[in-house]
Amino acid sequence: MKFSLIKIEQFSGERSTFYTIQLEDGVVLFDEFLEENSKIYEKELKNITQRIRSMANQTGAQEHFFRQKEGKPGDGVCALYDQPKSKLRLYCIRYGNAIVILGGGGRKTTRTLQEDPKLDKENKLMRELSQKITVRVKAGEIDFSVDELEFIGNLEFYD
Amino acid sequence: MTKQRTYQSKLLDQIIDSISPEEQQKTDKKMILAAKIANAIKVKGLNKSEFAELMGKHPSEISKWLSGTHNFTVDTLMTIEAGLGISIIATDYFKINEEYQSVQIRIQNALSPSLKNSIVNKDSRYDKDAQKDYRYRLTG
Repeated sequence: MKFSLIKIEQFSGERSTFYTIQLEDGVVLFDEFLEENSKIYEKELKNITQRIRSMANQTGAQEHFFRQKEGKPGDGVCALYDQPKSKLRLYCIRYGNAIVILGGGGRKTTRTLQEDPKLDKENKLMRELSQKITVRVKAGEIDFSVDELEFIGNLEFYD
Repeated sequence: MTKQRTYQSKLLDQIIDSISPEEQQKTDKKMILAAKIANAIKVKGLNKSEFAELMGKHPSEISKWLSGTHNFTVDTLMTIEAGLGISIIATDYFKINEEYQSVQIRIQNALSPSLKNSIVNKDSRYDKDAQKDYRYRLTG
């Protein structure tokens, strides 16, 4: 899979920075999530946007604002929601309080994630991305800025 | 080093335009409150389960509290304050107001009638003189 990490301008603040993924075919995962859910879940998307802006500008992306254990242990894959009981999930990869990568997601309609093909696909994508980024970080090809608010290094995954 | 690519989503711009400052402020305050409580739990050296036990709640209730979306009752906030030894609800409003009024009265009493009158009439020529007069009267 080929992709690049791109910084979302509107979500870059003093406390945290939000990235998303652009695939080789030009699809931007977070935009795709917004487009897929904007008609039915307008209120929920607005709420999620408000929460992300609060994290970017006020509080940082603190762990307790996310649903944990959405990926493998230690891979940082988690989910953002508008309300704790909400079925709408936005999968993310969280790197401490300062950097989050927003992916795709959708509404959970089944008891387990694996039973929902759409969510399962989105979740597996984020796990794969997390693994690839980790390899680059370990190899020193990706690092964190001095203020830890940005990735620095090679953010293009085209090899 | 690869230059960072940035992205501006048009759809996201539409969503952001639909958010009023009041709505954003309300969300900010809920998130900040949750962050304050989470930090206090950490400072106290508790994990979520231990804090839940302290509060007599199920850990899932604590997750809701810390989500940044919860609407707390005053009773719950007071219970959290007591459990964590922090102040969440400011109750010193009247004390601050009384102190402020007391200082204002002292300033008024220290001024000569003419300067007091000029300040009341907002005559800026006498502002500096009023300040000098006050300082003289306080220090003798």
